[in-house]
Amino acid sequence: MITLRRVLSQVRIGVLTPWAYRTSTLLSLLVLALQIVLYSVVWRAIYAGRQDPVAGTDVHTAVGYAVLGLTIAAALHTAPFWSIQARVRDGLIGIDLTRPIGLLTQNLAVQTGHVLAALPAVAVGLGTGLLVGGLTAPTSAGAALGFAVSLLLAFGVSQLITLLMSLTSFWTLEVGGIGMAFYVVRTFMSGAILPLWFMPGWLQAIAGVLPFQAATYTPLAVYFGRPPGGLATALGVQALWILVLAGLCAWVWSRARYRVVVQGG
Amino acid sequence: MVARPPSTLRQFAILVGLGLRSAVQYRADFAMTAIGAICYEAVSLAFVGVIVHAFGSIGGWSFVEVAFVYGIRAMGHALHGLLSGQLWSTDGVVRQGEFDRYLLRPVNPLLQLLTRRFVVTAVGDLVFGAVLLAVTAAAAPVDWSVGSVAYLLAAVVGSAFLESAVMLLIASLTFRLLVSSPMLQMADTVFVTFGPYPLSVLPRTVAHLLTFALPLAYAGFFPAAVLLGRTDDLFVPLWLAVASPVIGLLLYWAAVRFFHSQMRHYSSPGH
Repeated sequence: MITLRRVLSQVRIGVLTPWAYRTSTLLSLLVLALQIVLYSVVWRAIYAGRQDPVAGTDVHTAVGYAVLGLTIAAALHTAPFWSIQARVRDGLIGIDLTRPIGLLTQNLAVQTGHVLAALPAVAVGLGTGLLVGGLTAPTSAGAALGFAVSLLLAFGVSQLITLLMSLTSFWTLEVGGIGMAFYVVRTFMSGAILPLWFMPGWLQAIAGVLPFQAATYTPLAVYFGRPPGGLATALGVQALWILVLAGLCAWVWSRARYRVVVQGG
Repeated sequence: MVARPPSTLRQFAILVGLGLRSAVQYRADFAMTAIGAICYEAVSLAFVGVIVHAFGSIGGWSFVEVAFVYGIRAMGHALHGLLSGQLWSTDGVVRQGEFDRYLLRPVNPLLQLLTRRFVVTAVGDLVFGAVLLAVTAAAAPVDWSVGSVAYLLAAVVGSAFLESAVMLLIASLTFRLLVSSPMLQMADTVFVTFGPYPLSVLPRTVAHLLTFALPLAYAGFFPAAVLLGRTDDLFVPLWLAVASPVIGLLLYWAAVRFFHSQMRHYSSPGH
């Protein structure tokens, strides 16, 4: 019970932090709305004059996918460098280590707070999607149910990827480049904007062995009735990634705790 | 004889050189940031590549033709980054009063803003842009002559100045509004999203907006259409499309003027 309260206090911090920097949070919502408008224009232009679906996808699905994908990514894919990196650099990590809950739990709780704080993105994303006529219903009731389950698993995968990435700050203090590369690779390989089924086979194979697709693409593919390898397999792969990533996080942290250098006071 | 100060271009080169020397002190950071920038550009390219590959062509433009638009834009964007990457920090410079210092030194304040730090990502972008432009220009169905190569180079420089002009105009608003990064971010999003495509496929209203309001068309699509001989796809008179490099320069000149007029509204936060 006490543990739960401690964890919830961290979640609360995670919710409050982004809204303390209101301008940048509002800006991200504005950019999300703009991106949805732009992608709906681009997809319709690319499809203009084409009757046949491309890669089994018609223009409604392509636009609907972009709306949902951008929205989900905006809510789930929080920035990894807010938490551990900044705190390692400022030496605040020393305080974190004295807290009565483990560092990984703390960070997962804070990240969960970030996701909760980003929930207005869902309203903005779906609202903009509605305005541009880009909302598509799930293919069936089963798909809707599968989507809900898969989205929950995607939340787990996404947070563990973010946590793993931020744990690398114990080795790499000052590397903006890695963060940038991580951001784009995650966006691309997770299929947040572009469905993986458009990709040539070899690229699909690469995306398939990376964890990013389990964090966005899988629930979207389920929603549009194309779960990769069938629904059971798709959900199973997501669950497997949660186990693997959780194991990796624990392992990296077990190595990292011997490297902690508390800078200043 | 009184020594004359070096020309603006020379001053810019000296200040960029200084910034570069201090940036390479952090060797690992420098390398990682440059490599990160290349990754960033490569993924953006892959994104468009996948779409064009899946569709075969876009609005009658083949894979290599779309790639050529992308090549011009990529190199123009890289040069723009080298020149104007620091505009993203205008908000902080104005709000925290760093601009006070620029007003006290005997160098043009805009020049000081542009060179306050070296834009490390531009190194990665330049490598990526140069390779991509060379490859796509070689692959493009263009009969290369001295004249067309010269036009291509002018187009790339014009593309850089055009993007810089838009960003500088927006950044100049900081002096009055104290904030410009949201607008920079929005303009950048529009440029990145629409930039690679032949704009002729877009609805006419959007295409015209991208010609006369947020003039992306001169930064890639128009010069590419001219060089590829696809002038039927132009939605403006041919002379306007051909004049793209000049328009980039003119707009940049106007933006510099605008910056200096807005600069007078700077009020120091006090120190």
